[in-house]
Amino acid sequence: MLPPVDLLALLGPVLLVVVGALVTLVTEPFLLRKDKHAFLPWIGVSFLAMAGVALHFAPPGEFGGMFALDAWRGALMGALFLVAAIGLAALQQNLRSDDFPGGEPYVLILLATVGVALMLMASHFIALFLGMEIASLAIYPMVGLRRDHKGSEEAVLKYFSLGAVFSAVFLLGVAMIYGATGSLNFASVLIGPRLGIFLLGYALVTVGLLFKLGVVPFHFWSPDAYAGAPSGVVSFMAGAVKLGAVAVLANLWSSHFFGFALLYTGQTVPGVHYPPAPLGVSYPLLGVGAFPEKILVLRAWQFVFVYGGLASVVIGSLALLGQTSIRRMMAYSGVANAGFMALALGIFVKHADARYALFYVVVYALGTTGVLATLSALSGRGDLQDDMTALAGAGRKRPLMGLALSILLASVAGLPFTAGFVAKFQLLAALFTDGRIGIDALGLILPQAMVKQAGILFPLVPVVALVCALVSVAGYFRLVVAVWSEPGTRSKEVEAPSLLLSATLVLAMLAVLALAIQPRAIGF
Amino acid sequence: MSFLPTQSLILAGFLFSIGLATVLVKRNLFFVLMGVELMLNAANLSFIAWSRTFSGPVGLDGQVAPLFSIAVAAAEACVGLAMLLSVFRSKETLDTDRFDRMKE
Repeated sequence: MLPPVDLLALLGPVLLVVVGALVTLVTEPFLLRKDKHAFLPWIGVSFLAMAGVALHFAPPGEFGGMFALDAWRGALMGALFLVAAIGLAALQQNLRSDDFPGGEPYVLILLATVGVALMLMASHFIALFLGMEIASLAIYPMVGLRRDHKGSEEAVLKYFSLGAVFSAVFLLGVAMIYGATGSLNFASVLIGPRLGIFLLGYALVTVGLLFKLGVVPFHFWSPDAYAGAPSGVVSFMAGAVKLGAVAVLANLWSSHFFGFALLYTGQTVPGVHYPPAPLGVSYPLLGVGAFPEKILVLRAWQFVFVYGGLASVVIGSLALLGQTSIRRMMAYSGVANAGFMALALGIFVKHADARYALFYVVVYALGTTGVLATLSALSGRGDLQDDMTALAGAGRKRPLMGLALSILLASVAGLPFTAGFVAKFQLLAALFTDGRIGIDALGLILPQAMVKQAGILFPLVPVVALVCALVSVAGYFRLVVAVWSEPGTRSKEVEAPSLLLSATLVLAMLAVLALAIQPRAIGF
Repeated sequence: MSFLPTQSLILAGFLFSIGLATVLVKRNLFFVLMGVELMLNAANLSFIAWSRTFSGPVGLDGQVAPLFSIAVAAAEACVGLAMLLSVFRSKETLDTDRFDRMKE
């Protein structure tokens, strides 16, 4: 369990980002249009850097069962701050080339960062709901930033209406969990006779979070939302939202075990809850109760995560091959990678080991944010050159952007010498080690005898995931080849990347290469 | 306590279903927003209903939660209406069927 600490010390890093957002907002009206895009992102990034330093010195602990900070949460939040800095730089590139009249989008990125940071730290449903909504409400308007572009309205309408529906579904789930436990803390104890309500609540809450993660069958919004939004916004939301969703799912599920564990030890008083544990550590492992393996429901969730994840991997990997728009391709890449994260969460539900999912999401967030950020420099005004043919030769004109795109895309694809490889390799190795994970999950719908026979065949899930990972490399490779090839007829002059963009992308590249050598640096 | 939340919960379930049906069936985006509001209110109602079944401070959690969600719903309506206005200005329609240009 985490020690209780002072609220101000715990929330210090997040508060610094809030102050950064307010300073940016107040400074904005006093600057000329040209200066807005030159100065405001620097204000934001300097506050993010301060928040990063504060995070380094923040004490691990929890406050009132509401917020918690520990090694993994700290790592995720560090990644979030880097993602936000890259997002600010990419948005600066976008808005400068669009000659956007205002500087408010920078404020929105900082506020969305605050929301995701609260999601990462939350261990209470109200804190979680507020964090989620702060993040979503800041991201919706950014998706529709380019009002004069034809895809923009459709993107924001689809994203907003679906997001609003799923947040209502999430909230109903929270109400049900409250009804079943008498507490809004994650680690609350189930009241025996209300098992059905508890399960319904967890199902609804998980659906709401899987939507944020973009796992099949809740992925349909992402290609449209990504393709209609400015590349800088996509770069931020692709990384940040997934960081929040995976952290919350991992956190919730360790607490979910806990509710059951205590149910079977007989403590069922309404409102009983326990202080938050470090992220990635399951309560049963802390000696609170026995791991309730016999409970069918947990295996049902294993089924959802494993096969939902596998379906995402297949659909995402195949769909990204045929895309011409890079943002759309990265959206399907996001679906495929969300699938891998869901598989990692499947391992978590079965073996109570969340490291695979957490490491994967950190690496993926840095990679995808960086790739889309290079796009904001390469694809020009209004992201009009956002396709393979128009990008031809862009890397030769701007070698740093081309290099960042190649290295970070290699990490997203999971090629060796990058952290993406470590993440994918470890995950697939874990899936192969427990080759029965997909078979056991099947045991819920098929008769046991059939499952036994199928079990001797081969580990289906990891093999399919591995094949899809290899197939998707072809799609990523096309982009890298296009960027470094001879300039074509549709290639145009590529504008210079801003200093901020170059600096943050160099940081992201270093992080991705360093995590490949030393994954233990963040606890893996 | 002897309070049974069944009836309130059935009402909440009805409200939620009506809201969801509105979102799915109605073509006008205003009705989609209204459907979402209805769904959020159904969730609030079930919070209150559950909180009545607990005695003491445990019940307070369930009464405070709707206050937060009402605030959030107001913010969401703000963003939603602003978005509808901006879309209506450029497209002169709020018919959801008119927004289907992005299919591959």
